[in-house]
Amino acid sequence: MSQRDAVILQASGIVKRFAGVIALDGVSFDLHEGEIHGICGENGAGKSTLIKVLSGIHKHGSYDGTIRIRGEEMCFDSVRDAEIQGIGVIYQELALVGEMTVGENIFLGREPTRFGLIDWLKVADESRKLLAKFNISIDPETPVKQLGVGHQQLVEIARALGRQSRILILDEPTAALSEHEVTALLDILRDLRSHGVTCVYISHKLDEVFAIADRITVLRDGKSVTTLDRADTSRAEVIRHMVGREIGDLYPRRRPAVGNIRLSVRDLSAARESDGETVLSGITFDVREGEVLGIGGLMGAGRTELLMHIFGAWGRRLGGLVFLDGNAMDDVTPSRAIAQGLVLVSEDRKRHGLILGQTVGFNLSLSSLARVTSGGLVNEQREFARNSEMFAALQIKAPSMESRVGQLSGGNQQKVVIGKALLTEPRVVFLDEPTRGIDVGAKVEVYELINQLTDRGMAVVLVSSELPELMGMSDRILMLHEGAVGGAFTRDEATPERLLAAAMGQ
Amino acid sequence: MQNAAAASKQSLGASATGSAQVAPLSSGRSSLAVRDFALLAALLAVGEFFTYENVRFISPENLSNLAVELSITAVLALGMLLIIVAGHIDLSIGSGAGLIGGLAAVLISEHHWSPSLAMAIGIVVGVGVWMYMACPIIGQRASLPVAALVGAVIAIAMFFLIRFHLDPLSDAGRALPAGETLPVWGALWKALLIGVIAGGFLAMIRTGQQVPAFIITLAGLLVFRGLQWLIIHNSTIGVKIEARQNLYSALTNAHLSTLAGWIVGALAWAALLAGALVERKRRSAFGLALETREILFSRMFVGAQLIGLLVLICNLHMGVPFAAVVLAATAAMVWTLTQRTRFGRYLYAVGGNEEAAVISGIPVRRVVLMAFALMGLLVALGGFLQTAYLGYSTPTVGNLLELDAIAACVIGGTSLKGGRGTVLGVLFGALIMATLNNGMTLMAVSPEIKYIARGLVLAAAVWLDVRVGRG
Repeated sequence: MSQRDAVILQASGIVKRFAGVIALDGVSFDLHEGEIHGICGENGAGKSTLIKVLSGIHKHGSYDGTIRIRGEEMCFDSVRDAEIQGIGVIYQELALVGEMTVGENIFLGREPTRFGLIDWLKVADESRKLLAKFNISIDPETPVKQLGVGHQQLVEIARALGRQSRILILDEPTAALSEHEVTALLDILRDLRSHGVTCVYISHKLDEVFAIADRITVLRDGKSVTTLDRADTSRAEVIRHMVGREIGDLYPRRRPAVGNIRLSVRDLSAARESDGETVLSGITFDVREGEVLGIGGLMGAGRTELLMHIFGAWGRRLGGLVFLDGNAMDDVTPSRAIAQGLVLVSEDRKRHGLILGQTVGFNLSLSSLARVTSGGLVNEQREFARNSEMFAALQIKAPSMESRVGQLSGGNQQKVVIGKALLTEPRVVFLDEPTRGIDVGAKVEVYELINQLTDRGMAVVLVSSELPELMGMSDRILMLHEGAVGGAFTRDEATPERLLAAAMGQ
Repeated sequence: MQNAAAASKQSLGASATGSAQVAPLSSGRSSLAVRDFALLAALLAVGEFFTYENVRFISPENLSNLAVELSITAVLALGMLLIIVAGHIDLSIGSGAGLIGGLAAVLISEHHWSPSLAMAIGIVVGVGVWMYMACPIIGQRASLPVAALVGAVIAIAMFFLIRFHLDPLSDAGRALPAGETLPVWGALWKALLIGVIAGGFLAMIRTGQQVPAFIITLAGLLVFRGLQWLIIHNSTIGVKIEARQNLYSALTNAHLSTLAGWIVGALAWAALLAGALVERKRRSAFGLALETREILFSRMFVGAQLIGLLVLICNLHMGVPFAAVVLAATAAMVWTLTQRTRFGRYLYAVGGNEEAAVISGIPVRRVVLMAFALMGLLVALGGFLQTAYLGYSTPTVGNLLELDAIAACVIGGTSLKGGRGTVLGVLFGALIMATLNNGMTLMAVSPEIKYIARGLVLAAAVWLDVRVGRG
């Protein structure tokens, strides 16, 4: 136990400023050797900045405060310095070379050599030993691009461990993982703990943090608010510290009167363009005015593909019909879909949602420029008026609409994407994982917004991989299983057990 | 949705602080940065250096020439801006300009077509060929009319080729002796066959298969140069017959009269002023932030000074060159397209993040196709200007103009990754490139050194792009 409680890393009074903005405003915490330490905080609370300070991206001297490892003050001038001291960071965006094998990636930058040439056998052998030691069952000779995201994450971890990391920092490691992969990851982290590796686990998902962390430090507005023992605290308490206030109802769904059928999908089947494999088969559903249809399912069940296909951005139609307000949607492209009154907020906002180098205003009006164009020219005054109305209504937190959208926090970026969709004045809105990677407070705002959409008679299709969100916000739920409908439920029929059974095809 | 937005404003209790602080969208032209002053200083230094080396550099005659040379570089660079902002590149514009300039020259000198018709043909060919090139780049089957047009282009090219040179390698430059029958029908038959094959290529492209613009336009660079040599049969084809001025040669030879120069200058300035005042009035009607009167005044004052200086200097020689008017019109068109139309917004969006642009409902392929079509138009225009400026279509017309255009874009702050770049910046970059080329010619720098200098400037410009892009 005394071994356990030995402090391996101590950060005290870390303050980091960027040109007038304080990102960290006094963060102090300590890591005990061999513990899993959860760090929670809303977006913008300073988690990413903290990681950058710990990993040497922000050099010593660019911030105030001290970092000590085993009592010795550290002055990292580079990521390399931090690695030498045993700090390894697994970023949300994976940094693997897809064309290389697992082994090559693990040894990238420190390949063992024999007579000046790389000893590939040793690479494979050492990689296998390393992976076996932590019960990761991946063949080191597999090209990384053939692995799923979950396995790629494990390769990243193995790479960090191969560099003798004693402190592993994981930044939102499960953002792209399926539930099964999450379980596997958590098991491996527990295993690492038994080998004496210290982990910092940063996540929005409190369930995971509570499943695995020994202690939890909460950040709010750049300050470390408190550090709690997992055993002595509760989710409610952590959330209260994160937001600085009580959150009453996490899922404030109101149920307005349901009207006519807006979107009708009949026996829809579609195949992937690249290899012709059938991904969606025989899907039928309706969504009515004022209704939220939740769509769930396991990873790879075809949820995103279904939305993208109806929207005209994915796959080849094999059969079936789609009607929007009674009008057939054939030969659809995103621009035609938007013209017909259907809009999609995609799950990957950086990839599919935003032009990151452009301003908030540019992004907001991008899909609805036709509405402010007259005589072939964009009427910037009208555009500005519409944009600023949306900007205020969504309470987007940005210095101005001239700010680059890439500089906003995740929650505010998501609001820009939603605002862009709403400015097209849609009748049916597809929301694909609208709350992924955004903080609790922003989530509630998104839910509130969904209520307002249905109040105005729009039909909403909500795809989510979080069952509580699905059950909390949907009026009806459709579970997909391997590209087909595994089950349909009303809100009252839905229980986690039933939904999961439907998702697994039982 | 506006109702919804208004309603939610109440229900969410949004404070109105947002809209009060928000700067208007159109102030995308941000305040002058250190970089702009550095470029201005560089331009002045270059100018002073050339003046020191040869005082004729600042003679009205040379500056008048510089205005024409600037027009050529800038017209092509403005086209390149559209391509680069969309995230592509075009290496073929130099030889393309040579080809189209040569085509029009051949039609005029050897076939006695009217210059306006010849140039119209050139423009159609330019737009058509560039749309043809864009098809594999955007991975789209060509529509039948485009394929047919390309077939016709190639038919015309082959027609001239075979009409005059059954064996272009041994019989270069000479027409058939009088009295000999021409295998016209045989030639046209072959030409149409080739046209059909080329059209078939387009029809074979599977939608979604994309080829990098770099490769396609590199192929274009070679093909266009070869076609031009065939069309002008490796010789020198004048742009006019017996020294009679025509519309083609007038592009760079004609100058406005002193009075007309002042009138056009005044009109241009008045248009700028009116635009600024109307914009200001509408902004204030919408309650948007306004620039101070002092800034407005100094902008208009500096604009008037520059225009006045240009007219004054040109009038000391022969008057404002017609080419400068062409450039002004082109710049106004490209500025309007990029800043004031949906097409312009879409261009920046496609270059910034193509996938997001698709999901946002932007017809990405049509936007890129349109950019290339405009490039074709501007290549034709640039080709006419360049050929007319030399007076002849020669085998080297247009060599390396693509690199000047790319360098002008990059110097002017256009990002090679796409999504960023302005007309004003490109004009400035073109001015730097044109000044360098003009000054070096005046100093009688040997061609080898000129090549090296242009290469170094291009490398420096890209280095600048990388440095700035990182920040």
